[in-house]
Amino acid sequence: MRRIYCRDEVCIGCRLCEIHCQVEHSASKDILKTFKKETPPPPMVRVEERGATSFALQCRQCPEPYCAYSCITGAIWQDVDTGEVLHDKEKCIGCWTCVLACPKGAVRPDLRGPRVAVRCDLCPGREIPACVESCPNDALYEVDEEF
Amino acid sequence: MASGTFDYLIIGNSAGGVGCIEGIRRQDKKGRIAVVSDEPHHVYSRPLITHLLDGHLSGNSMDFRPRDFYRKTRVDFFPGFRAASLDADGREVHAVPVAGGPGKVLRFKKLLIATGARPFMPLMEGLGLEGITPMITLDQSLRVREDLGQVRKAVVLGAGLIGTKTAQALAGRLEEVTLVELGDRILAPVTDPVSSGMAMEAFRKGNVEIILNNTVTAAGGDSRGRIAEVTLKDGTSIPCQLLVLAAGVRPKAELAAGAGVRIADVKTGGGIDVNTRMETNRKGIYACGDCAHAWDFVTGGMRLLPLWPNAYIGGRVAGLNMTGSEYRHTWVTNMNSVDFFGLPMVSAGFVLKPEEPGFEEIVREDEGAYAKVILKDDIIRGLIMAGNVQRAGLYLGLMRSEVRTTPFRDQLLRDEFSAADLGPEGREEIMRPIMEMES
Ligand SMILES: Cc1cc2nc3c(=O)[nH]c(=O)nc-3n(C[C@H](O)[C@H](O)[C@H](O)COP(=O)(O)OP(=O)(O)OC[C@H]3O[C@@H](n4cnc5c(N)ncnc54)[C@H](O)[C@@H]3O)c2cc1C
Repeated sequence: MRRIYCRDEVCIGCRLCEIHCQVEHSASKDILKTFKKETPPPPMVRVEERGATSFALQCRQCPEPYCAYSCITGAIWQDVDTGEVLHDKEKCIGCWTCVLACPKGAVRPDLRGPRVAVRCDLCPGREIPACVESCPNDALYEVDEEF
Repeated sequence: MASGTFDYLIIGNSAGGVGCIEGIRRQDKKGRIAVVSDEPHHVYSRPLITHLLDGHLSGNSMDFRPRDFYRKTRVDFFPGFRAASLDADGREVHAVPVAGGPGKVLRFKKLLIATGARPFMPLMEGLGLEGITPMITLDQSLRVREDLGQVRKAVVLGAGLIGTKTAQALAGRLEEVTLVELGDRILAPVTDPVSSGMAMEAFRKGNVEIILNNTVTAAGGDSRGRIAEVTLKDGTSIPCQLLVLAAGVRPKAELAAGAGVRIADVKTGGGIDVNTRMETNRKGIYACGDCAHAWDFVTGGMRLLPLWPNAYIGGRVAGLNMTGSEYRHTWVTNMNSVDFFGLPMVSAGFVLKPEEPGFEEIVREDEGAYAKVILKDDIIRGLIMAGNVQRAGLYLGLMRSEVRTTPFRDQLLRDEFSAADLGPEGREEIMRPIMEMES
């Protein structure tokens, strides 16, 4: 199971992870087009800040995903064999039960356009997730842990 | 008579049943599982049935799991079969086809009863008329949808989750929708007067009329035997061609009761009595969801919690325990999230400050947004958020882990309150991936 963690000590809250997440999930995947021509998608990672504390937070791919256990439509569910938490946005109705279920506050409501829940998808098709790759301080790192 | 022997037998093909299958398959890839369901459908999302009414959803998008679910989880699925009797000593269930025909004897080693709930039918005259229906199954919703051509005005009785969702869906289709509620506010179990007021405002803007402190006492019909009007307790009459009864649900516990499985006192809800492992007083027989009681970690007692996540997680815990694991279902409380006409609203635990000493509340009201946290000894025991539900789960997480909020209590309702406010220990507690359902 791939998981992304953050070393708080070296996260300076630059928010490049948010920007590169948005670019990766945009129509063009081009940074200029994403922000100048398109409506950028909401970031799936967010920097949480308080005073000197800051750290990037995205879905931790819990082996016991309360978001999936609470989903009332079947939009978020866990593959029984791989443990992967799958998310079918087409099935999401924006009831926000997953937002209430995630104890980390890592599932977010997207209130613009079609109201769907937003959570990290680990950048399908990329070897290294965009946020991890773009982190200038190596605060974000990925590990492969047992399911 | 056909028969079969199964390691695991599940009665009810819904949230509880799916949770159980997925819990079993987490540990046991081989054991034989069978599911009996008196509904003829693939597993669907019950909370979505009202969404069929406003035309936004089609039949297939009701599926709670992909169509190959039973094949992938290697489950023998018996749709359209009702479990008619249970022999707890002999370890068998007698199932009969709903459409008629020969029955089956299904033998089991472990059993889950996830039979759900039935609608509470209020006492009123004219119940037998056409156009009066509860709203808890897919077929009921499909029938109402087919019938909508004949309906201009509808009355919905009961402003709980089912009634409000029905009213919202119908408002998009009909000329007039009236929601009648016996209590003094809508969505009482999941709101306080302020958030309920916000919801009522949203409904009124959405073209739903709300009548409080009242109920339907009689329905009158036309010459074809179809409903034409309802009469309320205060004598008012409202013309309508559809009356949806949504005055609550009651646990379906008779199958269990008939087999000597202990049922909780009616005063406490009358659901099937289970422990936190979801096992009944009969070893190897488990129950979960709307038909059973569950542990509420906020009130610290067993109660009915007729909510989808409670049924799913309860079933999952039962399934894991059937395979020999030791899990406890202690993660739920009265918790809910809804979105009415664009107003998102969540609640968890207490929604009103209990009278007992020691409870406090912190409130924040902004234009279009409201938040309230109920605390005891600085531990969160209740939450309401309306208008803005960002990071609602963080509060529920703190509640569940009983984190003492003293160091950051003043920040609790600030803008963008987040895990960064918790300090190192609180953050450590909240941020690690959840590896097992710790209790
Ligand atoms: C319109 C509506 C909206 C809702 N919205 C929400 C919401 O937003 N959030 C939320 O958390 N909850 C919501 N709920 C509640 C939620 O749907 C239930 O809590 C949940 O479905 C309970 O799951 P369950 O598995 O216990 O039982 P059920 O879903 O009731 O399923 C039980 C199944 O067992 C079958 N059965 C019963 N007896 C037998 C028998 N003897 N033999 C064979 N089969 C049998 C039943 O026919 C049924 O198919 C809503 C419910 C409704 C009706």
